[in-house]
Amino acid sequence: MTTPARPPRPRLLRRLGARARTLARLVGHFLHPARFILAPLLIVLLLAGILLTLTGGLAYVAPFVYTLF
Amino acid sequence: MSDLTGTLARILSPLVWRTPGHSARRLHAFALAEHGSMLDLRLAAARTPSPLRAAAYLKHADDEARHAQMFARRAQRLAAEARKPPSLGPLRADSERLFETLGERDFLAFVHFGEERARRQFEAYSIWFKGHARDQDHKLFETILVDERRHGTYTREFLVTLVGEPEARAAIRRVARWELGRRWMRTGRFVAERVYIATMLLLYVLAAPLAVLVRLARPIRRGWQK
Amino acid sequence: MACVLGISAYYHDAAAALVIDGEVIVAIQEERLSRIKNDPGLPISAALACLAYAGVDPAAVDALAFYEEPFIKLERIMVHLLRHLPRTWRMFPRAIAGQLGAKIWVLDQLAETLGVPRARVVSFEHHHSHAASAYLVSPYDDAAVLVVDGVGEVHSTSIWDGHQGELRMLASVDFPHSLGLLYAGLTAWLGFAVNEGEYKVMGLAAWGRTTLRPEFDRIIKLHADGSYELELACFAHMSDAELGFGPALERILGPRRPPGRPWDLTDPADLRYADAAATLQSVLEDALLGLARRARALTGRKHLCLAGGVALNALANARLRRESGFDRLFVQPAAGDAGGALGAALLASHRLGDRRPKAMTGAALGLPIDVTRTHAVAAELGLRVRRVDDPAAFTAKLIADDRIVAHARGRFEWGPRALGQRSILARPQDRAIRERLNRVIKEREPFRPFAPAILSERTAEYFAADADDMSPFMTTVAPVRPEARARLAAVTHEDGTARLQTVDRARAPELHAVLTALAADGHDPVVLNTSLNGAGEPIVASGEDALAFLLRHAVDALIVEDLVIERPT
Repeated sequence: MTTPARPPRPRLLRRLGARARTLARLVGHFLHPARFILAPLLIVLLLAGILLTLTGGLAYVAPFVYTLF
Repeated sequence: MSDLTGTLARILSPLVWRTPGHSARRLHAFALAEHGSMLDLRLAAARTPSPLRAAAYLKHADDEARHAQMFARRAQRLAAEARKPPSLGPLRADSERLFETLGERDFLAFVHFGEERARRQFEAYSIWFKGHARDQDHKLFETILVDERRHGTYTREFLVTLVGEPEARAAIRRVARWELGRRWMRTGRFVAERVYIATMLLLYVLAAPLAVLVRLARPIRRGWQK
Repeated sequence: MACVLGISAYYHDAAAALVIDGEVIVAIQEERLSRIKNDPGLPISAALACLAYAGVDPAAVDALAFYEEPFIKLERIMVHLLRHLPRTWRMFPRAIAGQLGAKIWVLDQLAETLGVPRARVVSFEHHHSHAASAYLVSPYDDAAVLVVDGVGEVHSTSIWDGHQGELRMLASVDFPHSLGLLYAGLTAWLGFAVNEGEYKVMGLAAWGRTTLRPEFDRIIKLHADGSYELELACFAHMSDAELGFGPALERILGPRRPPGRPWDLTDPADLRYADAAATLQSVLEDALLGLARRARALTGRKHLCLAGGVALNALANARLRRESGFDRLFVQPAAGDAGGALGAALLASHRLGDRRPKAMTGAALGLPIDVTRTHAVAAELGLRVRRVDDPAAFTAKLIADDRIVAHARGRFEWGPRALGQRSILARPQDRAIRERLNRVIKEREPFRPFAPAILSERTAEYFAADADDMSPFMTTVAPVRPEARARLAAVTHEDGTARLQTVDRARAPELHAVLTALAADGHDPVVLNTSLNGAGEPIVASGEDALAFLLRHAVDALIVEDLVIERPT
């Protein structure tokens, strides 16, 4: 079963732009009148996002080889 | 290939295999590595254009599946002997889709490199177990080593057939460097993960006043909602 | 005339489904390609395979539809993490990392990875996707739709009115009250893995008695209006999602059964766990009956569609069929989260102006096998390979000779059930066959039943039921007639029922041909049908997967289209 090739990834700036727009939509979601009272959660999310970025996230790197220790 | 792996494995063996509980965790980790390897080889069998290589990858994957079960069973038995039995979790690895990431040439080189490294490591463990009268564990590794040696041999043969000897050696060196970089990243992530968790728990504590807000704004709703 | 790709991902059972001009063309669960059971990861392989199968370039996709609203989900998760502070401290770092690290960016990731313009990526609510996945492919013009699962963004149960191709939500029960999480918590308490062990609990129920009702009345309250309420102290899905139950549950029911311990149903301790499974099943059925009756009262419809993971409980579906008051019931075979991909695709297709698809006739929506490639790889593996003119007749003969046959023909199935395209087939008479299958090939607990597949037109001879809208997809059970039990010993469960598949030529032509060949030779037109996979593995998809299965498992032959493949003697 041959797999079709993945399309090439868009350039970094374009990806960052898309992320920025999503972030704006996320802020808009929490600032919506129906859930405005939850807006302080945005602060938690912002701080968590910074921490996540600084620490590189928890991305999985499989131990294909056997760990020694 | 240097025998640094074998030397380190020998030096660390008393620490790694010190109790049934530690041994169980180590063997369970090996079982997961075998399972992950099996998944990658199955993917390779599906993706390679060569039926001959597909057949070889399927046989290799079958060996890895069997090794995973052998390690897992031994881990369960050792866990039961431990003073505080460790919780080992399910035998469920992820695949890194290495065939797609590396291409077939570097995939073969990587598998060869991995099998050779494992062989040296397991030989060291096997000798250590024999020297410490742990016959069951010695036999386990000796059984698996038969396959590991075969895996190391066929992958090199295929690689040389595919790209020739000089390119094969270059590919093996390249994936060795790549794996070194990944080991560096794994170490970094190990540290980063702990920093992340610690700082997030601090954020959790600081967010405590929001718990009151949330309980008022979003009480648990019972029954039908329209 | 739109081309729409639907995606479900990131929680469990990721999948992709392609709908073109309103018709379902292909649908694939990612696990079939990645070989990781219930693979939750972004189903890029499945998505690309769908597009390749249909010959569609990703840039030509008119809409890419995701089955959930990421921000609403994030909001609910944040609210519950903080509401249950400090019990949620263990979950907090990982839950936030999961959301901020990947899940809220899913629509961007899909656009980038698949090469679809971001403006064409849309999303629908989780229960809306589920409801669509059932109603829009059902044979009904109008129907009530009941969605019951663990939880979507907020709802865990919802009632919808399906009318002339449109869906309108009428009522819901919201998280943390959830029948799916009740079942999951008890699955974990019984020592099984959550999201994989629920079928085992259903099978175990037949071995117990419903003697723990007073205890369960302290765990869940069923109200007269059809709603329900969990005793939240018994559950830990707010604080420990992996375990799912709390100490309060153990105070009521006793200690958790240790995971992995072999079952012995002659042991009173294990019998008590079976009683718990039986009681849970009974409580679940009562709850679903209440919900279904409420749905009928709200909608006034004659037919009911079921969706969500709980809709895979075939025992409960049979009881709903008998007692809910609806004339007909339909359950789309991938009723769990994978089905959300299909539902989202259908909703987007409808929004773009396409008509509703024809009713789903079969579940063979996956990819075909590359026979030439399989032949070549089998030869390289040193297996014996030969071609036969009539694979159905050959298979029937093997089955009649008490052989166990791995059967891989046609496009693989959509959903968790094997319906003949990727099945292990055997004679249904002999309990020894069942024991061999359970012990050696499937490595399952001894209490797990096997299911029969029968020629649709002969159903009533063997079962106290006729074929209905659910039976072709194996989403219901039926009592085995007493006079037929000896001939169906290997597929009759402890409670005298079987989760049957009724087979007709249109829906499963390859299996129909095998059953017809059996009947022509004077045998019962029934086979034991279990999925073609080893323990802990997804169902086989490709020829390579089938060969890998043959290498590990001692079946008597593997049939791949017109190839017969055997281990060397």
